[in-house]
Amino acid sequence: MTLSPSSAGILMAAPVLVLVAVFTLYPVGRALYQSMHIESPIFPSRFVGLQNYQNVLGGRYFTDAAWTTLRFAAVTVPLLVALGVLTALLLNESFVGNTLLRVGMILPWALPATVAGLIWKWVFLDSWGALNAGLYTAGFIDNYVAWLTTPRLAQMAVIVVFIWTQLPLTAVFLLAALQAVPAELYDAAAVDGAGVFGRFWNITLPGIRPMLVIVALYETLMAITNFDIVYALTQGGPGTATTMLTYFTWVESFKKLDFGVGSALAVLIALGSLVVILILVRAIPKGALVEERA
Amino acid sequence: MYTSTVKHLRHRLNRRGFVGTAAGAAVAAQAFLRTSRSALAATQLDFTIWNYAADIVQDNIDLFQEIDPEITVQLSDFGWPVFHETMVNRFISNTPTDVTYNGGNWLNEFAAAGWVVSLDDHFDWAAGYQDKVLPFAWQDMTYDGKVYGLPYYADTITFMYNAQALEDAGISAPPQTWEEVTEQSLQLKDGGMEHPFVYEFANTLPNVSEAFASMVFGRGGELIDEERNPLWADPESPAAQQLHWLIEAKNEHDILAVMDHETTITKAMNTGQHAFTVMFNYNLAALNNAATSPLAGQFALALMPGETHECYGFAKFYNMTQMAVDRGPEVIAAVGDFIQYFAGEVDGDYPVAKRWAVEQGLGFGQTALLDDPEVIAAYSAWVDVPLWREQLELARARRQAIWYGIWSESFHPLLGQALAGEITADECLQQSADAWNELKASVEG
Repeated sequence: MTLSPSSAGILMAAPVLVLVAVFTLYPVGRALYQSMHIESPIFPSRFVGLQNYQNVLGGRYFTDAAWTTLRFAAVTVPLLVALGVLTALLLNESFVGNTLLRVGMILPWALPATVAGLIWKWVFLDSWGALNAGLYTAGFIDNYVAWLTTPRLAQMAVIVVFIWTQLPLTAVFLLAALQAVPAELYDAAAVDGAGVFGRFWNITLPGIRPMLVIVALYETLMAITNFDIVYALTQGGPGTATTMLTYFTWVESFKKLDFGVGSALAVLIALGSLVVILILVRAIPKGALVEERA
Repeated sequence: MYTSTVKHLRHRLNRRGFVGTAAGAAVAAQAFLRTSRSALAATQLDFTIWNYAADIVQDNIDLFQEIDPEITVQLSDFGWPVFHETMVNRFISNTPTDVTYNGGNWLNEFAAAGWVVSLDDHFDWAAGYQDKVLPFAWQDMTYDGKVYGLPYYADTITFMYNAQALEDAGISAPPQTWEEVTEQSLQLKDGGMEHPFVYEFANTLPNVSEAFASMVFGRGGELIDEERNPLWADPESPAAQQLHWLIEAKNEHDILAVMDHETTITKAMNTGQHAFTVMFNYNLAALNNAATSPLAGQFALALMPGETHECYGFAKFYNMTQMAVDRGPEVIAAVGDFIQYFAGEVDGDYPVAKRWAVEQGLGFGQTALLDDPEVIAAYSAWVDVPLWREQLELARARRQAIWYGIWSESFHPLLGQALAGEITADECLQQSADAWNELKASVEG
């Protein structure tokens, strides 16, 4: 028996399609179904239409968590990109210990985010954290600072830890892009009398632009879905100061056991992420990702 | 450190091994456990705990299995802050669980859902323990008139202070009321102690609402009435007063520091930067443990401040699950033996509960241990025993509701917001009452 090309194609793609259906389509479908039901172990399940969405969108907690998430992304992503470029430029230079530095700086990224959160918790702890001890011993502070129990400082702590965990990957990506920029361009620019900033602006930046876009998109998604660090470091507190959308979803689903509302939140986060990505992609200058050629 | 009880058990095991044949040992083990179980063929029990001293739990399991080799126990431990949701998910997904730690705060929810079962329904011996268990512990293990477990430990949430710090500041006696806590804290603050009161709080910590209840009990209050209506929305209620006290202590007087776990507080108290706290009573044993605490010996118990000095008493207990029942009579019998060994009377003693009390300072629900010389000797090393007995007499369990555990997850962030100054104490009280009433209406209609 001979299969037609289209049948053979379907047959060959079937295993992957089944996997996609099991691990993507079913969870998405299940989340949509749950988001329109009361789903709790202690309350009887019933269809409620869009009520869960109304409850979520009408609640102050969602708005707070959404703003906290957006603020977090707005601060961390530009910082990460800027620091990533600076770090990559440093690592791209030749100096003694360069290889060791490259290996060492990847370590924070290799750590699970929860572990990083716990390590930094010991740094920021109010009464006996390493940071307070260091600052106090050095005479910079007279009293210990409540890093994790003061809203603004706790938010700053989460930002610091997030950047600490994400910077290595960002820098490595950008370093790879830097190393792909032809060296002769720099030579030519030097001959033409271009200075350091001129070379950076006219050669380096255009050369790494596609990677900058990818890094920005990736870090935006990571910031929007940041959960582990908040869970390990602040548990959304103090109050709700560091409660972001993913943490809020977890609390609704697994602490309050309201899987209907949790699913509605998950759907909204997915849609929100999609919108943010679309906006970012639209905002990318034409040709930023692919060099156009005649 | 090993207690003589545990040594005694090991000795018994060795002696049985010396004396007898396998059959003889089996007979002795059966008699030792007073089991109703017929011959079993290697019954495996899945046992879930929150991970407090899991090494000791495993050692107790090993001892139990040596005595009763026909039962094997598979231990799974989970973090205390996530135990509730972990267990809910295990129950929903039918992940094998035969016996589990449980507490009064979750018993109503788990029992109403049909996930855990009453001992009364399966074991004749269960009711006989009522006269042998402290009343507050028995109440905390009871749902709908039936008892659901025997105590892993039963304890109180108490007020602790650094006696040396008070003496150094010229304070002659610990505070009797919350107003005195404020006064003494301000005095200590004037002397350079920035935050004299350290408060255990984290959004995800299950015992936040329990500690709050204990402070409310000190004022002679309750959280809910007999019809399960919230009392704290009334601004004159002791609960409202206590919440106002906490918020003012943090945001107005700046005498209160917030820390997220008892182990953190134990370390913090040992820096000498704090003088007062409210925690599970067993933490006083850790505070006064010379092996780990630099300031050991300085910490003392005081009666819970307030008009009545009552405090919250509770039991954490071994609970059989519906899944165990569904596995059949042999598993039920094995769980019965397990619970009796771990919390029941064995040859006139309570070896496991006693071990927890002596080695870790955990409280106990078994009244016989109140006068046990070994327990009293161990307790005397870290607490004023007559005062501890007095506080124990004043302990009571709280009224429960099916939705208590879930409501706590709304209350904790609200309290956190109030402590962080994001909302007022009154807003916290009202919004948490609204959350309670919403859940009550969902369940009761």
